Amino acid sequence: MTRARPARARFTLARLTLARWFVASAWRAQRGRWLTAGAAVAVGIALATAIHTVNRSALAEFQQAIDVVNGAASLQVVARAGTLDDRVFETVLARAAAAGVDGVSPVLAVDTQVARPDAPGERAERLTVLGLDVFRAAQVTPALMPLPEPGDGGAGSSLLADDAVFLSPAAQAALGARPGQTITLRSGLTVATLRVAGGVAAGAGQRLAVMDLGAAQWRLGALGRLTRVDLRLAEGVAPAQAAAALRGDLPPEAEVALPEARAQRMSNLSRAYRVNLNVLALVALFTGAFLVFAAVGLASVRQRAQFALMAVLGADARWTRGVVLAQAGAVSLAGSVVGALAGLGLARALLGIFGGDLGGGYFPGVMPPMVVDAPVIVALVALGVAVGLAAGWLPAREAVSARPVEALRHGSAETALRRLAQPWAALGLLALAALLLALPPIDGLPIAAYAAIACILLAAIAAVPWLVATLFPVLLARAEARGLERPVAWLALARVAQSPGQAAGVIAGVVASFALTVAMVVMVASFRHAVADWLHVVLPADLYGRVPSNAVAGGIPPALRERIAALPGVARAEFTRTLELSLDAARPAVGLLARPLEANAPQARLPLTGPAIAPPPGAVAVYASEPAADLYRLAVGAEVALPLGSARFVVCGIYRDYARQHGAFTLALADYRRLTGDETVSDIALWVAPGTTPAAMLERLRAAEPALAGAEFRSADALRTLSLRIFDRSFALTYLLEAAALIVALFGVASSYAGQALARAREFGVLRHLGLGTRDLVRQVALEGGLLSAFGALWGAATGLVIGLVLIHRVNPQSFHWTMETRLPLGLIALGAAALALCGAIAAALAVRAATGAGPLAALKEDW
Amino acid sequence: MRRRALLQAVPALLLPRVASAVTYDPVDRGRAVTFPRDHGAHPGFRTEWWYLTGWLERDGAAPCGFQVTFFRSRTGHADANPSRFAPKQLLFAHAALALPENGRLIHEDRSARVGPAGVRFSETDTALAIGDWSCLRDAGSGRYAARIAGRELDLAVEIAPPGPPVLQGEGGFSQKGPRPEQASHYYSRPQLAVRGRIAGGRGAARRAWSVRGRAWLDHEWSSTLLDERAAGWDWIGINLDDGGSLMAFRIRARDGGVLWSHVARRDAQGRPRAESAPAQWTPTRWWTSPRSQARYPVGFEVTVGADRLTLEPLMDDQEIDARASTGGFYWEGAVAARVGGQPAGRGYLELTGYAAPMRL
Repeated sequence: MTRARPARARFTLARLTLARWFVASAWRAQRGRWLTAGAAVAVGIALATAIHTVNRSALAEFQQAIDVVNGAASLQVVARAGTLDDRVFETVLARAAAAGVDGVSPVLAVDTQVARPDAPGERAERLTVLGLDVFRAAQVTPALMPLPEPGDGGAGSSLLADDAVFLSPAAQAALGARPGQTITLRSGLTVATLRVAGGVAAGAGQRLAVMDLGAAQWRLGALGRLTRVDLRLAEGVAPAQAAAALRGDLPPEAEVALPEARAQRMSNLSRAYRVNLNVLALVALFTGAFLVFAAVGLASVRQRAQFALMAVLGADARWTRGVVLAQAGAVSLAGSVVGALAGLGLARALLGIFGGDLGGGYFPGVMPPMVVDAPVIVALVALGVAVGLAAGWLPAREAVSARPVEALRHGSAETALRRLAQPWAALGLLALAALLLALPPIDGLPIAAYAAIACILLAAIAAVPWLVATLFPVLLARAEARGLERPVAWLALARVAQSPGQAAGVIAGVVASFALTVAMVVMVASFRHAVADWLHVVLPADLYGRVPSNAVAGGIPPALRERIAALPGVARAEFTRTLELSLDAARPAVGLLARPLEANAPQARLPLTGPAIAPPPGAVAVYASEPAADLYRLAVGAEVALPLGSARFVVCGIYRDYARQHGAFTLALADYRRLTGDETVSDIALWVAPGTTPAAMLERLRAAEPALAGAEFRSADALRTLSLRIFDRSFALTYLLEAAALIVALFGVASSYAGQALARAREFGVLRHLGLGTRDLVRQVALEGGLLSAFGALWGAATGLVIGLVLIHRVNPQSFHWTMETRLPLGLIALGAAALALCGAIAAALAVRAATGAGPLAALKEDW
Repeated sequence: MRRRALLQAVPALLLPRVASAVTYDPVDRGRAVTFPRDHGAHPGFRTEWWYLTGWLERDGAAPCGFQVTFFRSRTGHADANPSRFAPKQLLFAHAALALPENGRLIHEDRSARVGPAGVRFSETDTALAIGDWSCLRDAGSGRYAARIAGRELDLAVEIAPPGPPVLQGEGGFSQKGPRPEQASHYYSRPQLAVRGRIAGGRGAARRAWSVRGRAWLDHEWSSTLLDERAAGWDWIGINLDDGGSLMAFRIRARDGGVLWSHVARRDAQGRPRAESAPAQWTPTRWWTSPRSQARYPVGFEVTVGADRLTLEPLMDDQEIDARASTGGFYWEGAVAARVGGQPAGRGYLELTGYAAPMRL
């Protein structure tokens, strides 16, 4: 049934239909170009989606793991350093009622390694064992209660046994240990063989073991120690209020941790790394935006005559603008949606291959299920569309502002882009970048520095038309002066010199992506060099060993230490005790290294970044790593409250440390022993006597000291190699991003020329009419592409060097708190630039050859 | 009462029944029970309890029953473990108030390993504590003080024994089954004079009274389990109005018969009365628990020699749900004894093994 529609509605429909035709024709005219632009957007969105999803999944899983291990206690008393004297339990208990705490459960958590007698070469599995008092845990953390196997000597008979351990299903599966079997755990040099007596109520997916507290203290070598006390609050008592009431009575080595702080600490762990990756993903998106800009700009130029016709026929500016923006919106929407889906696929693949790690090493051993964060992904798609629309804005304005009659007469691609051939925008952006670089980090993140990088990049691209317009005429003039004879070369140079606006469209992607690639190459090369140098300083010995130490067990007792040092073939032996300290409940723990230091010459052992001072009388000298100094705002001479006895600690120097992003402190082993009474050490460094190899030394050591079976030994060379491999792996995702951006940029070059082949059909027709063969044309375009790409690569490299400096001197210190010296791998950059120019030439040539099938006459006749 | 329940439930819950490195002291017929040493704990044995039950007169309210128990249990945890948290010895405390106006028991319990957090016993005198729950004997006066501070009940009483402890069985060696090792060391303290304060209820419903009354203390220790044919037991301890006391128990077999039965009656001076035949237990009234659906014989006629004692509970519902701690349901409550329709004494009755087949 047809009812006459109101005229207005009919008119609207007609406008929409026309708009659809315009968009469709633009698509048909240059599919390659649209596809490339869409692909660029897709790459950006895909990477952002993948990074977010992987990290979100890892965090969710890790958070869950942390929650499981903590049994969701509402409040905890935890150790600032290592472990607590187990009498803290009574201290807390005495204060509990007054603080509104109605459940107090002492816990000893020990990170152990599981010995695999069946596979001695395999990497040992880690297993966190919780020692609990079941009578108390039942009230406070019921989820952690052991579930005895019914068949195991009667229900519950093993709950209090001295040799029973209860494994969560995931731990049972991972270790292949069923109830009734035994497992062997190592903590330090302590080896405990325990009977698997059942499961654990909570954490089906988590690897977790639970045993009796008394048995754990004894079997795992932690007599008299606790790692935490879990608390349950009475109804209506606020955690902060209870924490405040408890704090006063606690010994200095204990602190009260709120559950929020736990979550905060978790999220802080990988925050900077995550933000860095996300910024890189946004950069890919950014590159996409230029391609969208180029595609939309060219399409609207192509359609200028049509637009003019529509304008003459009465179409208003809104309609024209709408059509151009619709083109930009459509391509970016399609790209964003495809990108989001691809990103989820990529996330799944990454989770499968690397786990939740993202190559950063923050969540080892976590194989999380994928968590899809729909709101953020929708927001990312919206961001992609927004970026596309922004890219279409200038061409849309241009399409509207052209005077119809003029536009009808000659559609020139240059008109739309002419106003870009001015240096002012670029200079303004550069000034803004300089301003941003002066700003400090925001909320611990180098937001301003990233914004400065964006400004620099934008400035570099904005400067392209002006640079081309300035540079190429000079080149042309010089070439002419030198007597340029080959017409193809002259044509190519002249053509580029005459159309600087188009040049920007062609190589914006190249400049952007190569700039970022160079920036990353410079940063990574500098970083890698710094790490390699640092490794040499910190690994002076031949052989390094580490026992599976943890908060509980430093591992190697004095007697064993002496035996190791006295072993034939050992020229010198040094020992270090490493443990973790909590200085701030909301931040990840910092490392504490107690090692032999010469009071007068700490720089012999530590890669100090500046001069060291002597400690003031009565104070203990500690040395802060760069991240520690930065995170806790410590300068040389500052006092720092370390939870080791009641001594006064003064920072006497700051040293470079690329290993512990969350900070570390080093002090002399003798001081550490004096303050803590802890005589054990966890790390061994051995200098091998002449005539012995590290391998032979290790063999002798292992034979002489079977107690060291659980220790991991590596030669200094192997450690260096391993460290650098880990370093490289952590940049794997970065390389992937760069490769994607470069490939997209090259596609951009190819599709620009494919589009130009159509737009320049008349020009080509004239040239062929004048006698140029198809091969000459292709050569000319190849030369144009090569010239422009070479220029893009050089300009991109220059920009990249600047951005690299920003990364090294701003982003790295602000997000990871470490500094390094700049290294410029110029050879590598030159090689990359040459390859890029060649690829640009080839891409342009291929695109033009494919697009110029028609004969010269047809091309001449074809007119709008 | 849970004393016998513990013989069964505690081992089932917490003690290894498989070969253990721990060897328990055996109950020895020839071992003399001596004081004050045997007021204290005997940690070499597997199980031990101090069991205080009694009737209390309240100001302005009907009489009520109370029960305070400390159990000690030695686990199979290796003696060699030097950790202060090593659960070699456990203490359980259980307290209940039978307020007739309440209709059911108010009861709470605590379980803890001995060692940390003020959980302790003494081997030289009665000195038991789980935090602020305690039962202590003063060596000078010979008086006991019991203190229970729970969420729903609060109890602080002083207990004065009228005379020396009464040794049960043969000089404190009490046979619990047909086999010689099925026995315990056992003494009782009947006719204890109690004074103090109790409070029951939560929040605004909490009421407090000063009380006085008569109580009964049992102290028993053993290492052996019950006969595997046992289904449960019935036990009474009655302070007779004439100053004497009556203790009787029978261990019921799964087949419905009686595996072991014992009765001991003393006069006001604590002299035993020789009984010619074991006591006869005849249920007179049954009550079905709405919680466990178990049917308990809450009224009994117990024939001891020529006397027929009729037992009537203070209230029917004196069932205890111990599923969360030592396991299962049982009935333990204040009962009044009559002979020939006249009040003859007051005490406690324990009924176990009615709720579910007992696990061994």
